[in-house]
Amino acid sequence: MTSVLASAQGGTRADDVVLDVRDLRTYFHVMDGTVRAVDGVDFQIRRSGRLALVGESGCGKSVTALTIMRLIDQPPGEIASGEVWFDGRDLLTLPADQMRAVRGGEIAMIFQEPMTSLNPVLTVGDQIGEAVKLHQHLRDREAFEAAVQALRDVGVPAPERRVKQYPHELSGGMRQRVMIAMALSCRPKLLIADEPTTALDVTIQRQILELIKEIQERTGTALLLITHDLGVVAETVDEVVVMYAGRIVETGTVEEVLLEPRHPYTRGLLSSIPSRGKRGQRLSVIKGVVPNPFRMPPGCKFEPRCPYAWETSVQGEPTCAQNEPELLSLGDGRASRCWLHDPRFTGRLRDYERPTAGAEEAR
Amino acid sequence: MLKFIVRRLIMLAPILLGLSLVMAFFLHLLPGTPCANILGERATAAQLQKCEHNLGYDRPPIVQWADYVVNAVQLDFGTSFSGARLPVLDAFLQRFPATIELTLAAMLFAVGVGIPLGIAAAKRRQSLLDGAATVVSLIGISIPIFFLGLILVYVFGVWLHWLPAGGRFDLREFDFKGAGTNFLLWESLVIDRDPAKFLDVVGHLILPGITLGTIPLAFVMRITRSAVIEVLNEDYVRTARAKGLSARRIDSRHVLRNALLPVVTVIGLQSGLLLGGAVLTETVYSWGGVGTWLFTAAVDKDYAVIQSGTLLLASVFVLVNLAVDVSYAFLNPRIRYA
Ligand SMILES: Nc1ncnc2c1ncn2[C@@H]1O[C@H](COP(=O)(O)OP(=O)(O)O)[C@@H](O)[C@H]1O
Ligand SMILES: [Mg+2]
Repeated sequence: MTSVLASAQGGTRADDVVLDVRDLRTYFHVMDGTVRAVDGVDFQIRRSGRLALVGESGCGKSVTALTIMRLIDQPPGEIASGEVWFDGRDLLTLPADQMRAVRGGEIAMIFQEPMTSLNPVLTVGDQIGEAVKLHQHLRDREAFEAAVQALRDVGVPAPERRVKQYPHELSGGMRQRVMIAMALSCRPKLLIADEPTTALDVTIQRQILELIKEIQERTGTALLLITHDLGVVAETVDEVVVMYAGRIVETGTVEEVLLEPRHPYTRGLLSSIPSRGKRGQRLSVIKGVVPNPFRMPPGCKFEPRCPYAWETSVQGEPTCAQNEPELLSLGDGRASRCWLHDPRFTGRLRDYERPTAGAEEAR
Repeated sequence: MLKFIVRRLIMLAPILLGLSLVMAFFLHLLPGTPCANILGERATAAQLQKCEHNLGYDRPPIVQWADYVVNAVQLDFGTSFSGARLPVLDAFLQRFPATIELTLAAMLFAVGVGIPLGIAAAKRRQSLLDGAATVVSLIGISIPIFFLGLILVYVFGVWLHWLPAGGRFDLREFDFKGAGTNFLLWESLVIDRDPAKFLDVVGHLILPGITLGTIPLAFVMRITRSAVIEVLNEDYVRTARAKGLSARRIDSRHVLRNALLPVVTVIGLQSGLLLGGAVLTETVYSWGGVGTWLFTAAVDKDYAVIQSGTLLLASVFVLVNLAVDVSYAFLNPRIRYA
């Protein structure tokens, strides 16, 4: 599978790539059995590139990010296989002290919950300052000034005053700015933003996304944006990786994925985004729920919810319910994990792509 | 903050007034008066009546209470009937330092062992250590103090001769006549500057401190453990790890500072309770603290001591709680008293 994706994303030279995740598998051994939260994920981010990891809640996005940062508690977690190449090193085999230097210094992360992600008993300045002191070896005074500057950079008004405040004195949006300031204070090569706007009001969401995008452009850091909302990726990233049940089901550039979704799951996600053109119409939501991790369907993991799944009686032909498709390369960096894209089923693919009811919803 | 402290101190007045009123009626409801004890068993009814009249016990309780309050405001808390017949305040000031030192020793033991043990248990949950800590804390809470005290005295005092079996210092070697504060740790170290004397006092504090500190130790351990477990799961700890901080730094800066907040409350509450006197521990170790003093007074119906001793200890309890609230506010920026 690695090879499939490698060719799918062919054309990128190795030193263009800042992050190269290969066949990542992270399992959790819990009381009821094993949750395969991430089960064979491959993707690459180019230097200063912007990639979004998209999928419904529970599909393994956060676990992917935490595995890259090696912040999975083991046990109950287990990084069962994979490589995370970052700047020529495999992070999964890096000694612990070197990994600490990467965390916060070269890869920084922003989390979903600004209300709880900051320490309530330390001032904002202390929390930004401790990162720069550690990674840039600054003294207290310089760290304080760096913290003020970092707050100014993310558009916090009156940074000299804010830097001495405690998190509870700030609004949610302001706290997320603080998180961003903290993440960027050490000039990381990669910024991982895990649902950075999900917990915020809609108007604040826009501002924070704008800020992340603006800073990404200004500093040239690479961006891994994690979101369950395809609506926010359009203006923020270049490439999209769609995940379902711990696997990648579709990859492509943002325009391609949004305008021409290949996988039925992506199509379903798109049709559930509210938009101006669809106002008043009922949003179609993907029917059913994500599969129980302890009772994964044997074939395509999306088959139980897929409106396009079919049964077959032809001998030797794979069925959606019984056989899991590979992530099939479609050329031009696109890939889809669906039997529709198997050469044997071009007829069905033509029906799928004809602008019928399903496709209209996607428009 | 200052306003908060002042307000709390002012609130002390109605608390003490109410408490003294309750005490006055409570004492009135008890059968008999101190006169029976003062005059002895063979006193006649006429003698008793005369005594009660002279001491004012035949007045209505509300009048007795008012009288008591008027005197107490002038720091006259009455005089004990038994023993040296000291004014209650003097007796209290003589005994309370012993209780303070015992409380300090007990809390030092409880905090010094309980917090590290709680942290270790939290960080290695379900481990042998965690299990052992849980069992020990359960035993600590359920073992009778008297029994524990006697075992410690027997093993370390009588049998091994490692530590003194009772008293506050070695009467044969030292005396404390100088300052008369009755704070022996302070006097031996700062006033007399006698290390041997100081160590003797410390040695006498060890067994009673352990005896009295066992229950607070169990509480402190369990609260620390659960608080650390809770904080370790907080998002901000994940943020700290994502910053690349070392485990030790994360523990000291991010985990402990938050986890200790509930522990401080427990420490304050337990200290307040211990300062109220420890009858059993004081009895086992012949420790002249306020516990046995009040207990004896209750048995002897020594009204002045019961009433005033209770009020003085209630004031101490309120002040300790105030100190806890103030230190809590310093540790927790989310709390700002106005
Ligand atoms: N610490 C954990 N222990 C057990 N299961 C976990 C743990 N963390 C995540 N999971 C499981 O892994 C799956 C993926 O979770 P996650 O990556 O958080 O999803 P999301 O895509 O919403 O970020 C979920 O089924 C979740 O229940
Ligand atoms: Mg998530």
